[in-house]
Amino acid sequence: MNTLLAEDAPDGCLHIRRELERYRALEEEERRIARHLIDRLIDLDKLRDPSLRHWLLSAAAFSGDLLAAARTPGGMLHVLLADGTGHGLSASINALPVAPPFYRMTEKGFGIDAIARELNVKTKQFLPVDRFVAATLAAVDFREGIVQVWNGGNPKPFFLDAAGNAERVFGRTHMALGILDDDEFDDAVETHAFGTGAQLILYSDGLLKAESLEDGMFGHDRLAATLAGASAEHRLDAVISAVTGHLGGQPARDDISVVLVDCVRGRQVAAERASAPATATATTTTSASGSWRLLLRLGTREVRTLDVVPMLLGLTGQFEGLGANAGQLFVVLSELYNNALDHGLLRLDSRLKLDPSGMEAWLDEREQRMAAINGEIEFDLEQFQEGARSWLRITCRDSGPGFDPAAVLSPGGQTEGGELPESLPFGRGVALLRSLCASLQYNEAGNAAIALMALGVEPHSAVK
Amino acid sequence: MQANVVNAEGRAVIRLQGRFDFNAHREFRGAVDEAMKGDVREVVVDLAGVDYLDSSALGMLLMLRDKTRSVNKAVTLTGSHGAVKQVLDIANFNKLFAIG
Repeated sequence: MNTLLAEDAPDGCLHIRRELERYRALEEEERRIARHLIDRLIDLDKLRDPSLRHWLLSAAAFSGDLLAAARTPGGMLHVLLADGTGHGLSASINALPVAPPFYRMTEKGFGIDAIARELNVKTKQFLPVDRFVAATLAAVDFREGIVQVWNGGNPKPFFLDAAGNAERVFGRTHMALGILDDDEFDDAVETHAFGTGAQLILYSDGLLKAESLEDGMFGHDRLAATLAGASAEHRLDAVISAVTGHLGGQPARDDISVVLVDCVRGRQVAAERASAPATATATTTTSASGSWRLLLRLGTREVRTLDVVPMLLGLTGQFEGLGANAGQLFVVLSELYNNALDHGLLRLDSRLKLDPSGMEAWLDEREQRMAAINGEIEFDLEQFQEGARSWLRITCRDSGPGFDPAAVLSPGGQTEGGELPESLPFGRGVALLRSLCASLQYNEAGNAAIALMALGVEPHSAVK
Repeated sequence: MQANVVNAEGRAVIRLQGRFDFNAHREFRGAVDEAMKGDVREVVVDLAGVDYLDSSALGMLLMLRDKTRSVNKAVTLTGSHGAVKQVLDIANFNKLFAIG
């Protein structure tokens, strides 16, 4: 620094040097902050999962390829390989919005279909229209020996047999994230049941496009030959040396990332650590009971005359494994139904209740509007296994015009952490729902609420 | 839901039975009016017979609290268990009510 300020330098030169110096310092500072942010958002510890090996070669200081891995509460492994448009810092930033929802939703036991959908929404929301993110999501259920893949815009992942030959190519390619609207988005996943097991490979197009001056691009054939020519143990190293050899000292033009997952059935290394003993017990009682789904549509007449919540509770009570959650389920169903009816269809305003005689006024108003009600409410209850845990997803949709979730979700100064407003006569419903469910979401229109409940465990241990 | 009120020695006990939710509003209000009659120092809401309780019920309990406070009477919730206790806990009602 001092040398640049040498007193004998000519004035103009000194000025330029100072400008350059300033610019460089600024850039370094920006890089430092970007690096910090990126490192915080990517959980490298989780990428060190014993079942997973990865390689990431950046074309520039920052990688536009992003790798993330995490375990669901049930011990399933979720892997995300994302490739933001371009490379370098801007590509890196493009890929970032996908990381937090990936971790958050995996932690809560969502399937990769739901995660893909959410990542698409987030990417579209955050990125400029000309930017998008190719992404592959994989879920490995070691216990059941099942791999699921959703691939949007990356090269086709495949499953290798023990000899390293492609046993199954996941050929269904969706649109990359951040392009389609939610209603056009296709979250269909491909499923592959593996026998004794071998490896799953995911990679970005940078791998195929790695270019040598003499031999062109690395390409599929070289990749296939390399994979088949090495033992499972050394397969990733073989790919790394083949690609770097192919590049022959030339820098890669695009970021390269590869993930190999050892899919060995029954392998539960990290899973045992991930699931608490209490949840493990709950699992065994429900895992044998399979899964079910219940759809119920109530028309105007039904909404007006039926006592819906007890009816639903009676029905769901017939299914094995829900007994322990009956109380919790009652509250969740009641709150969802009351909100759909009172606010969705009847358009009642909770502020009515603020008046001294407010509850009376509310009731009268409700009765009047009920007589003229026109609309329907739909319940969709789906019970499913996510690894070691049983979940219930409840969607409650009304035919009303919807509400603005942001405006209603913070009534009476309700805080982020889900604390309840203690003195207002309303606003507790949504907070209750949040406390009892692993997650609560609304669709964009605000006329459908989606609640996810962990079954067989105390709600607080499921949330935290 | 069923509600009955027993008034003795300055203490009114509202005993609730069944599902305490939105539909219980009129019964509950009637019971509260009954309980507040005369020279009562304390109102007790006995929830032992309540299987389920939702956010409208919480609202009604808050109304009761307002009413009793304005005339300097105490209010206590007793007998909550299972899902009912859980909901009261989540709503932090132990900060607002004496829970016996």
